[in-house]
Amino acid sequence: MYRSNINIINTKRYKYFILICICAVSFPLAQICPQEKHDNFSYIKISGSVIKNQSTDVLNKFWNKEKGYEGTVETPFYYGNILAGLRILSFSGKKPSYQNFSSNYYFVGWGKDFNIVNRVTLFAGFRVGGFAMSFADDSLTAYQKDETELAAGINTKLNFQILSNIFFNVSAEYSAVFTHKRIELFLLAAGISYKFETPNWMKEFLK
Amino acid sequence: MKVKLLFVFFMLQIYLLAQSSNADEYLSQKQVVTSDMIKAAGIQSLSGILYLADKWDFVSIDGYQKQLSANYLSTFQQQNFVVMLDGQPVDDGIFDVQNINQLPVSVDQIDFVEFYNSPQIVDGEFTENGLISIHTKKPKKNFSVHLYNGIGDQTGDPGPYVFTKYKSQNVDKLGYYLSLNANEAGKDWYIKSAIKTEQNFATDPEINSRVSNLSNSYNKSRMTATYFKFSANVLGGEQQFVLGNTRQYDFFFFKPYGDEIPVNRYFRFWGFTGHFLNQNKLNFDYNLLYSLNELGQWANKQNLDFNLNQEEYYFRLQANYNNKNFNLLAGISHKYILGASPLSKFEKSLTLESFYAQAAIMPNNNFSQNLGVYVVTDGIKNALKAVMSNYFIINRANSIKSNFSYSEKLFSEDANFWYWYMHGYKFNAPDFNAPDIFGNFNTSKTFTADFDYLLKAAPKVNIDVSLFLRQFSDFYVEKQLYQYFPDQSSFYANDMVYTNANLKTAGFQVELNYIMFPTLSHDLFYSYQKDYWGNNVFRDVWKNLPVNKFNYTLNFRPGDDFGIWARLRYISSTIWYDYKYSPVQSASEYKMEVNPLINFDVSVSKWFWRKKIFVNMLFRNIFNQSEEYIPIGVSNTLRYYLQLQLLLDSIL
Repeated sequence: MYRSNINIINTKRYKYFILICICAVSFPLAQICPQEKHDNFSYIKISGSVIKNQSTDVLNKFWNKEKGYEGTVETPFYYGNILAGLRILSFSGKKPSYQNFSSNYYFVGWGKDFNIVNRVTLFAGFRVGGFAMSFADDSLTAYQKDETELAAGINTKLNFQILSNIFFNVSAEYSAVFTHKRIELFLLAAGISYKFETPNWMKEFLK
Repeated sequence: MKVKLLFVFFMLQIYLLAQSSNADEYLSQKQVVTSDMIKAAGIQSLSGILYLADKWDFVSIDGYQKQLSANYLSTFQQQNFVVMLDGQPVDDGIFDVQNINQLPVSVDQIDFVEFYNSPQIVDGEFTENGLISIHTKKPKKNFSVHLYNGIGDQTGDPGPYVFTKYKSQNVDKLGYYLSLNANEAGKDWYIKSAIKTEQNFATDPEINSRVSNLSNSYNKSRMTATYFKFSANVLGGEQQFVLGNTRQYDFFFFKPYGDEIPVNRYFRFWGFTGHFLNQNKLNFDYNLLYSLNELGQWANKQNLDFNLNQEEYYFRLQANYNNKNFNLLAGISHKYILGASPLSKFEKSLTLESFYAQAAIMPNNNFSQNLGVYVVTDGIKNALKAVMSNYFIINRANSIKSNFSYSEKLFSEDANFWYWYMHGYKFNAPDFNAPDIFGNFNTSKTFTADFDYLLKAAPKVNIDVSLFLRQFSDFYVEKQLYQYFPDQSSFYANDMVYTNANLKTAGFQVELNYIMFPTLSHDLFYSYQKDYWGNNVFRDVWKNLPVNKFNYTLNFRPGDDFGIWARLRYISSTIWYDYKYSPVQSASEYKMEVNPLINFDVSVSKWFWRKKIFVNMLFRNIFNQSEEYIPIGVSNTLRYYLQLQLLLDSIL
């Protein structure tokens, strides 16, 4: 029993621990190796990623992890960058009684970039938003079919500059959904980002 | 001897009057909560503003309506603080339930709110139980439209686990708020019109089961309210006409019955208020108001119906004389209240006449003083209320403030359930027994003393230390040892009213404000109070108020368009002897003692489109502790609120 508990800690928690450590050291590092300072909303970076769900949460006893997708929009804001985005994840039940469901996570976040080496930056930050679950069973009432819950997490991302305004990135995220029994997600993602100067009309709106 | 002392005292006042100047602002014992503070804290409903009133305590059963106690001036039993909207005393209370959310304005329309924390004369009212004065914004020139939308949700839903062995009860959303305002303003006039709708959901399982015991429908209270205001600068001042109408389907907690009763509540008012001859030394204020409070029936399983209409006609005229050296005011008010219940063939009216006068003086720049006398009569009995405030600036860094009051209160001034009951009103519940009343309802007496020492410790550090004393005599308090009936999830007990109850209490408060940087400020507030003498029954009720209270607020505004607000709040445990049998009878579902509350809230605000769009996210109770105020009330955990405001000013 004791050995099995140790095993759970080792296999389920180490990823979260590493991620937390990366985020924790990122902010002091960001002071030492800061990115170039930008005015608020001076540029916009749009990213799209494919997600692999690596969670080992109890949810996995009942549902299979499917591939997911994520889109974010990011812009400089005071001491770092703010972002907003949508992440779509699907889950298929291991038994018919466990309804298939998809989740749309609408989030906002904040984080900070810092240089590691030439053309490579590390971004660390947090996200918070609504985790909207939609269950597939037609026998459920409309009231039961959709449910939204608060979710929050930490995220870290490595950006590799390929062209002047195009980046390849890989990221890791730990997030918790605040259901009665927490859902914990550990996600890995890879994608492409495109950065451009913010149009004046959009700056006007954002200010 | 007393007469001689009074004579000397009045002679001193006359001497000081000859040398004084405007002193009102120094002498007011109040806290002002501004529109910016409300926005920063992510407040969504009017009662939510109480989170920002440091010296006011509140409890809540449904998490939406709040019962209040202003700066230890009352218990939670009698809810007779004064509420004013745009200068009109709008009495929305009925049977000691006063829900300020019923006022037909939404939080986005508030300019500022004044919380009067000690007895004083304010706009013709003697604030012996505190006063909340809400001021709405004056519209910008030409046509404006404002839209407000807010929603709150509590965490803890079952999510997908509802299909597994880990299934749990669904947690519904907390509230939904929507309002639309259309305003038109010219050079010397404006019109405001507003409609708001609010919904509140009984998310707590215990409340759900209690409410389901009587309610036929889904456990949701809902309200629709409209407001109209016309203001014009004529006759040397601002004249206003206001009209409000609120309808609410609500679960009305009626303490003598012990449970929430579904009611259909109407609150309507219309009236005039204003000032004239404003530029002169002698000028006048007036109020003319009609209001109707109806406690009607919302269909329920036991056909319970209060069937009560409470109409009120109010008139006030006040003369002000303002001089460079002093301010004098004198006024009269007339209030006619009619209570009627066709079902129980009940009709009773009462008239309250008030006469008051106040002098505010400032003999030199370092000292100011205020003396007010207020007399109220119901035609049979008279009551005297008096207040004296002083403000003394010792030097640039140190000053002292004091406030002393003595007030008598007529039983008829409460105009609550007990008053109507003693004059023949009967509540129609078949199992509702006559309460036991020990003694006679008398004129109550309150003496208060407040001393403040204000220290400007550094250019950006302000400290206020205050000591206070309260002495209550001849009060009536209720004792109700509820029995819990698990099969119906309901409470019941014969109400026992003890008259001639006395209590003495004292305490101190410390406030600290530190503006560390232009972008970052800290506020600390600590309060301690304890009853030290009195009847046991009164002291038991007083235990509903916390002994210790602590708030720490951080406000970070790196720019004009963005801010982060955070608050740590601690309230010590409270004891509710009325529920002393509940732990055993409900298998610990309901307890007698409410645990200490530790809350941490974070609110993030952002403006868009050059302050035309305002967005806020508020996370309340981030530590996910139980936030409970009363044994039968909701126990809220981590929850989040979103709000959006669209402010389109001067668009046409």
